[in-house]
Amino acid sequence: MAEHPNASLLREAISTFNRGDLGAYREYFTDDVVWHVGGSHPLSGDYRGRDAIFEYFAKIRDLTGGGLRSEPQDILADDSHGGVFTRVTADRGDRHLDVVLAQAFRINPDGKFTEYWALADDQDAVNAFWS
Amino acid sequence: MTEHPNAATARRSFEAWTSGRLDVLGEYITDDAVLHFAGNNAMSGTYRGRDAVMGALGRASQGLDPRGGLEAVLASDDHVMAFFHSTAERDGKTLDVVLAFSIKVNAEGKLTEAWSLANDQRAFDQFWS
Repeated sequence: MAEHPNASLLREAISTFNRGDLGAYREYFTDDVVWHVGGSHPLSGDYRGRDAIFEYFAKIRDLTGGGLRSEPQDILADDSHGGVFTRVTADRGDRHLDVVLAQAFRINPDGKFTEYWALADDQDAVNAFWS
Repeated sequence: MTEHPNAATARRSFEAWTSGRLDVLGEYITDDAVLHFAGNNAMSGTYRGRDAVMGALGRASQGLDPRGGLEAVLASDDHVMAFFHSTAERDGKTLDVVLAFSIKVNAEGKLTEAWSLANDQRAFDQFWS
């Protein structure tokens, strides 16, 4: 069965992120995208607008030396939603992160992300890594 | 296109939950099911085992407005991602959020572990505090 176009879109977006090309990655989002990061660490919370979200990505890049990687294990999609189950690894000094993140997306008819939720399988590990 | 069997299971589970038929819901989850509710409120935390999960979902279903419901269900052989529009009233407070539920499914098609996160955590915390 051919992959849903939004699944292909999510796959492309993740490889763009992994290349560290934040300029190209911006093109996948609407200006008024909303981003929800679970947990109780300094990066948790709701981010509103593409600029706020890209400040968050820049912070992540700086804290991890640009080494955060996302390896998708399962990508689900319909015409207006996506679900990505991805293994996220990163290093920050002597801290190592290795978790599965479930990412929920709302996707508009132009193929842009309008809303996102991040759900970690091991929230304690994520909290400890970013704290 | 026919819906994936795991999407159908998830739909039936949410229907059972929102209509208060926890006995039906209990048939779709494993004995050692785990539920993680995000946030900083009276519902937040990790519930382990079918009884604990059903107890938590039973409390969470109080005041749920049946006009809310599933916005979308995505499924593969191992996973479900559900977008659940939750509208509720409780003690004079109202709630209107969309929760993303990521769910793991085992080879028998039973739900083993679920995580939920609201798209307005502050509103969700205030409602459940």
